[in-house]
Amino acid sequence: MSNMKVTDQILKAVEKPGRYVGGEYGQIIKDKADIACRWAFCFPDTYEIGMSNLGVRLLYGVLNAQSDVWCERVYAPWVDMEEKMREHHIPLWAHESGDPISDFDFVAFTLQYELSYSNVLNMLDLGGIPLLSADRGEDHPIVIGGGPCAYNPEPVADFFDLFSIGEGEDALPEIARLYIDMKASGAYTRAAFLHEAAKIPGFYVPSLYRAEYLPDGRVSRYTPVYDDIPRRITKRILTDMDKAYYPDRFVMPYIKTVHDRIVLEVYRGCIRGCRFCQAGMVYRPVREKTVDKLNQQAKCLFESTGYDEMSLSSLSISDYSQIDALTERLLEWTDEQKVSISFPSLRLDSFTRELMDRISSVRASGLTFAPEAGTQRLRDVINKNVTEADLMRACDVAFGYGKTGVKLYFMNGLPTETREDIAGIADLAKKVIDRYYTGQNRVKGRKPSVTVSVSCFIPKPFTPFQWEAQDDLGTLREKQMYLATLLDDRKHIAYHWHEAKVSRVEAVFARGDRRLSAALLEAHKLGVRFDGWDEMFSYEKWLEAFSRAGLDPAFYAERKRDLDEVLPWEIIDCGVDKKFLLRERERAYAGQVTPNCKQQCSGCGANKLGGERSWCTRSCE
Amino acid sequence: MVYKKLRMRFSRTGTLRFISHLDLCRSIRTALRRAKIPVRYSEGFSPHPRMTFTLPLPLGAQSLCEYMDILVPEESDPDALCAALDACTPPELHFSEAYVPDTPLTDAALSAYEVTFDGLSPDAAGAVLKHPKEITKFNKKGAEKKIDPAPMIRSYEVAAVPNGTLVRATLDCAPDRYLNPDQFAALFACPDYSILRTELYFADGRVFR
Repeated sequence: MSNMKVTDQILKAVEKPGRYVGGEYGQIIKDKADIACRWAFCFPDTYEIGMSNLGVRLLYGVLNAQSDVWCERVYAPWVDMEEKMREHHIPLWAHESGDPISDFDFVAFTLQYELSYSNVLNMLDLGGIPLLSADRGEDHPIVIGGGPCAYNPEPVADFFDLFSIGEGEDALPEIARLYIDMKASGAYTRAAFLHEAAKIPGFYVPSLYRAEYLPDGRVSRYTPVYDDIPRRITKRILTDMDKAYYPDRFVMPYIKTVHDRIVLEVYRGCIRGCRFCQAGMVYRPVREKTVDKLNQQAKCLFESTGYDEMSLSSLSISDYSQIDALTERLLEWTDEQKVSISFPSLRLDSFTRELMDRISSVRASGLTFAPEAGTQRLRDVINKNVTEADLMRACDVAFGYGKTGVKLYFMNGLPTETREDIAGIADLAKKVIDRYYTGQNRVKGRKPSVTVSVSCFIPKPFTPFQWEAQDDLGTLREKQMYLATLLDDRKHIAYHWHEAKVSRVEAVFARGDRRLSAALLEAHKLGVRFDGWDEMFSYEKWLEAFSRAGLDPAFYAERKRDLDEVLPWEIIDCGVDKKFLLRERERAYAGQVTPNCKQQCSGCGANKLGGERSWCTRSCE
Repeated sequence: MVYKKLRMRFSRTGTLRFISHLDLCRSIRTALRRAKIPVRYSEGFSPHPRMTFTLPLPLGAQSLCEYMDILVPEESDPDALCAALDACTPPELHFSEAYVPDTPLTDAALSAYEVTFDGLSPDAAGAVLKHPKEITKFNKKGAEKKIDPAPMIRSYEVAAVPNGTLVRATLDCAPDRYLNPDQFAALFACPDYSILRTELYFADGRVFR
């Protein structure tokens, strides 16, 4: 990093200066003379969180694989560093070169969670880039967004010139190529480039779509301003994961990050179809990698990183069709090399002795299960497809291996939830404790502990619950307190619940429309940032921002949508049909579960996108 | 297997001045694995490479002379291991030499530093060095302890540089008799300084190795 303005005195005055200095092993440095297109790839949260993100690692690698493109990393400076930067007029810079982000051709943001939106604005501001797309001129960078939240880009539409919808590994090099070619031929103007970009599959240019509203505030329609751009933007996917780019090395952070290990992405998509889960819907169809490919990628990353820990990453790792073959193949060399393997997304119905034997062969990790709801009735409504018996069996296995701590995740505020469902959470926790004391295999003389962690349900776009209302604050609080009175066994049970105010703001933006950009702008002016950090979140400032923008948060969070309403995110086609979501919604209310993709095709529609090794019975016909 | 002790000399400069000692240890640990150095692991539930370092540097300081001891199989070639490790670390973490040591790391008794002060005159620096003030330290319980730095400043010279002063000083750095270079720099009451450790010595003045 060669930003001379960031003096030692500043770095000595801030927390964790290692966040800001760059210079890590594996970072990519290029000669600017060879470069036609520079990307500042921004993660709108701290270095420790951003460095752990697999998507950024993939896109950093894939862009830098282009000889005339240089992609650098940018993270949100923590508030102490922000203060110094503003005091000394230091614009936000990129890690590798130390150059200000306003010097770049593209400034890209990955939108991983709604609560990072305020950081996007703050980073643009620190970079000296006009916040609104409409205010940017020919010399400003193109500001592009992507990632899971881009499936509903509307609440941040005014701040972005362009969105990449879906998987970016092919799309971003393609858009870089368009930019380079138009610059070289002299055809480039900002407007001409954005118009051309809007014709490339998977790119959404919000300024080229007029949003109109009904008098009551609901969206009436979207109209493209040109005839030659699509009416809806279909997400991009990679059809064959074995042929997809995967990094052969990682940038190795000096300081501790959240996930400081090898991450092996085993497959994309999910066969399950839990009705609250956005990831389970928008990442369809399932596409697996082969064992050979995965073993090769794992070995390559082990050699280039030296990590002693490897995490098998996917939405539900035990659903991988070759999971036994894969773990066996990896264990052929990981044991000897002292590499431990972790499975961060184990469903409790797949937690068996055989698997436990493998995990604990090197190092064991804590056990976390997610029943999500307290009764079978409600678990059927959300299509979670796990039973109390599954949980008890999983606990037996865990206790048999000397584990005493189990963490259970639940949600409050799910559609149709009653007091019995909440009481069911407490019952489950108590049954786990009882199971420990009545079990044969437990370690004598130790006491079990259950951590019950309860978040608030947030209805998300492109899920069967996208039309639902979120419980209001009072109701959520009342439910949280009711559960607290039931979880009275303090000796064995710890209870954590999520702050409902934070979930409400998240819910507003999750299903928001373009008018919310005004509220975000007001929030930024009020100094809002790092909403995902409890000590930084200010609900009062958010209420003030909504009020200044003339918007009612209840309209977005607590309003049940009409089934025939135009939803703001329907400008995007994520592959899954609305008819399927409506069918699933009906089945939810009828308490009917839907078989997973391996058992039977439920006709979600995502197979129209293609996909190798997809488990999709229909596309195989 | 029979193991021998191997000492490796390295420099840590540039951005590494803001990486803490513990973070540096983790980074070297992964680098040893990348380089496939057959370093001896500790026994027990969570085996890790056995590594020992000379005294940690304060945050913000750079060094040309850090030492690390590891255990490697008897037949290993020190030069080859050093080259392999250096190829697997960023340029600012540079391993320059490896050998079988005759002495323990704790025999390093003196440390030479170059401290550059911005905006401090050579005369002012000289005056501070002539009568160095007592340093007040607080232990973990908050009790005060006064240290007289004068006997631990073994030698020094002062030179003018553009916009400031360069102080070259040799300070005690034995385990039981240690003057922290940050505390030494603080004597000058000039907040804009940088520290570079240039060499370690035995108590008798020979260069440490």
